[in-house]
Amino acid sequence: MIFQELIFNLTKFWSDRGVLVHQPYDLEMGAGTMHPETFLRVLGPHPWKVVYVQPSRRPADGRYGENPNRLYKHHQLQLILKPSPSDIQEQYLESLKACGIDPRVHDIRFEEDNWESPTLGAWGIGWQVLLDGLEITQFTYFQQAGGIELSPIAAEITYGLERLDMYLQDVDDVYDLEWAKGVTYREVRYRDEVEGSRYFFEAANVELTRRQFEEARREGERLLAEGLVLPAYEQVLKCSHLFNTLDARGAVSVSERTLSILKVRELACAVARAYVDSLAPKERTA
Amino acid sequence: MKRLPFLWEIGCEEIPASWLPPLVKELKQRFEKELEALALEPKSVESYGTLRRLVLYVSGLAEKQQDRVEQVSGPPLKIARDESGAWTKAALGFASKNGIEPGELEVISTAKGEYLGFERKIKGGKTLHLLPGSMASTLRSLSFPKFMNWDATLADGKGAFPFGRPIRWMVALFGEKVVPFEIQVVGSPAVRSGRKTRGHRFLGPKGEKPGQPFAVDSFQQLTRGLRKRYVVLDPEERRERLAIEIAKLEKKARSRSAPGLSRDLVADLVEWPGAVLGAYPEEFSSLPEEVRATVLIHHQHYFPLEGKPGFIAVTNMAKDSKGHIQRGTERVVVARLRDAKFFWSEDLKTPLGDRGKALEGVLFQEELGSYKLKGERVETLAAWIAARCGARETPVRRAAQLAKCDLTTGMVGEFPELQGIMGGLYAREQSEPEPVWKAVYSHYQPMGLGEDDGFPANREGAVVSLADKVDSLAAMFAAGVIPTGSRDPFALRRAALGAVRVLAESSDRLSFEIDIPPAELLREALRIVREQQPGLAGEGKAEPALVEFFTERLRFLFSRKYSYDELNAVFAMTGLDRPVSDLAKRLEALSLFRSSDDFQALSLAFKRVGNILAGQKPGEVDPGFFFEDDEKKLFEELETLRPRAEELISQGRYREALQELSTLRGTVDRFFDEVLVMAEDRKLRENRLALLKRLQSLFSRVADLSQLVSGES
Repeated sequence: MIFQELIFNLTKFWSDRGVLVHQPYDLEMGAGTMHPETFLRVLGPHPWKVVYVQPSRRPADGRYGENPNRLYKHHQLQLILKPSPSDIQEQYLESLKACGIDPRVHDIRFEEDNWESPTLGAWGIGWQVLLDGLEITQFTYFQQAGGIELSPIAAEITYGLERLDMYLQDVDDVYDLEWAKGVTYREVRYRDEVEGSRYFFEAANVELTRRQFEEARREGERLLAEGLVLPAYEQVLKCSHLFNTLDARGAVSVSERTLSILKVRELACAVARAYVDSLAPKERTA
Repeated sequence: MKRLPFLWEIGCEEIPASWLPPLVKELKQRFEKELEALALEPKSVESYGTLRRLVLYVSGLAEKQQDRVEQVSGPPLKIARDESGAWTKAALGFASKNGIEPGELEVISTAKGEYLGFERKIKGGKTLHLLPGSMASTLRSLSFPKFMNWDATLADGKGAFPFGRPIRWMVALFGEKVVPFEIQVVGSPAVRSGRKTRGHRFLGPKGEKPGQPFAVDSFQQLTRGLRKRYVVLDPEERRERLAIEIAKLEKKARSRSAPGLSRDLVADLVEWPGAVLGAYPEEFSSLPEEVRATVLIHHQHYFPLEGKPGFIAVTNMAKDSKGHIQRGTERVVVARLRDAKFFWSEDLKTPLGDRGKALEGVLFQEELGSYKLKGERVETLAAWIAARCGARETPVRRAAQLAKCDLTTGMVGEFPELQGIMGGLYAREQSEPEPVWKAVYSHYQPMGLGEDDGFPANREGAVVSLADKVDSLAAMFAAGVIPTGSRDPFALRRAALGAVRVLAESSDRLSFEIDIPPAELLREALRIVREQQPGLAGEGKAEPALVEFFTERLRFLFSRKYSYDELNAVFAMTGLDRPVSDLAKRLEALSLFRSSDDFQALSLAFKRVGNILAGQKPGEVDPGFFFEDDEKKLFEELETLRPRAEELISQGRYREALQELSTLRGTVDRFFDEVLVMAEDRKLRENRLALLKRLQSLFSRVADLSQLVSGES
């Protein structure tokens, strides 16, 4: 199944089940979880169902396009169902059939794997889903986000699209994936990986990035004080990515690391609280 | 009384395998407690489980509770009856409050006097109605390492119902009847008890959709129905099946599965154990075995094959008809091995020693800063230890410098459980001398109490291991990070136990005596921490807390071999101020002495001595003031023995010392038979007390024998 078809099929599958199809967020982020459609929507009592693809940047994972399994930017297909339906696992397994996986001839397992994001003050309980030993999905019942206990609980399902498709296309090198008919992943993304790796590991201007981090943080605080919750959250996203950039660049000292993570978390938690407070009173409790 | 079987299945989303065995056991225990509280005596209670279900089965449970009589007591009789003998207002009020006729009132005699009361007949409740309450309390009482909120509530009035994983179905049958039970879940239909269970997610008999619920009427039907649908309910049976599957493939591969992965754990990862044989290209055989095993065991739960580039992967499927599973597992393994090989060759490009600087960027602990700082402390302490016990300083220093450098390698970043081991392997590849690389390799060991938990490979390793662990303890305590109850985030208990083991066992295992009293070692470690980082928050209180913590671990280690009173006897006289080996020798001597004939007699004597001397402060013996022959004899024999006994004690030959001293037995016995210690004459009495004190203090140089509990050994 070519890459874009995998995206179509999964999106269509969930769309047919009444799930809103959203789009990638237009800021850099490390995972689909950081998209406001997840981080903010899991807060408060409102039911919400959404699916979207999120290009996810992890600067430190860059390998100059030389590693067949590792990328600084990969794609996640992220699904949020809030509250989580009781047949969520069965629905998920059905979605794998939509990808062409026949569970009768594979070994599909849910193995314990809990998720935690110190920067977002978030954690959840769940599994990694293994397909013949390969991790293809992270399945999480969110317990806390922005330091706030959640209720109702949202289920988050994150498909690792490249991994899953490498399995489906039976290729050992991500760059050999067929993205569109006759067009390989290499043609689409290789240059991005090479230059991205060079940027994050060698070229990023440390002083500038550090300054931008500080400015984004202060801007976030200021915006929050003005009651602009969503713009403030965008500054959280910027902080997080700028921090990852500094980290990949090897420019974060020990004491700085802890402090920076703490700063971003504080802002993320403040945003989460402001978001919940901004919901109409009757919406605040289930 | 009619008895009926009770069957209860709690259908869950996948429970972590490591939780399952304790959970299955706990389910039985908790439910038995509930039945006990209801005075419902069950015939055999059994529990079973797979990752998707917990099952409890009681083969016979009374249909209802026995009727019983309960005595209800009211006001004291003297205010319940007036002078004429008629019931007072208080008595009548008591009767009407309890809804009985005054005629039913009785007098109850108790130890505290007479009271008004009556007997209430209580009809036994129906088990069917009592079970839901027991089920609810059982569910709430199960302990999970981690609970989750899944928007559930129980109808027991206690509200929210966190659990280990969401419950999706429930079978609850008492005889033929469904025991009503309900779990409300936000946004979903309630989970209601019934007769329907579920088999394997993807496998089932022909003509039936896999995973479809199916009804059962009994435990026998449940196990049979599940087996037909590819679920082995009994964990024991699952383990046996797994063993058969593995043996088949071992035979096929003409190899054996290497140790290091718990079969029990793997059997709980699946409901229907199957297995496939996988292989990886020969080129990866050049990777160290430790790395290959980590990839296979820790990351994939696959069994490596001994001496072959292959593995056995346990599956939850009956077969692999299309070979997809085998190909899939091989692909994952190859990708991981390729990663590992990349790290191996990349990491080797930098000499391990050059990584020391990069340790500045690896955090040890917030207050204490980086591993670079820790490394410097460990080196200083290791050199101090080496000098104290005759280890060679140069390789010890080198090993200490290299010990933490692998924390900055790609391999350890990817496989943190290989820390130490990778450092050792890289050091070996980069031609560090054997004493050095082996020391680096094994300096995290021992990791626990078991034989599998390893031990440093050589003297240098023992020194660095000890220095590393003691430094962690000293530094953390100085920073105010002290383990409490179950909170021990830096695994300091394990570190202390490891340090204690190195101190206690290096002599036997490595012919290497580390005869430093732990108290001194801890003090030196604290001094080094203080010198490097003055003014840490917990600095002032660190030493006593550390000594207490360390003593506890030491006693714990010894308690595996010696009884608590033997420990008390030795630790009453000495402790961390003596080398651990010295404490061990005392304990050994004491424990041997205790099984000797002389011991019983002497121990009795020492109890008496202890009692007599309690609260007394005897002075010096005056040899000219003995009156009886037997006291004189005791003094003389004691003084004749003394030089030899003291010599033996100072040489640490406690066993011989006790042997020597126990020749006094007859004389001591006669002394107590013939001599009245508490004589009327004060001078006489004090002289005898002084003699006993002298006797006691000589024995006490080995241990306080009065601490030994007689009749125990």
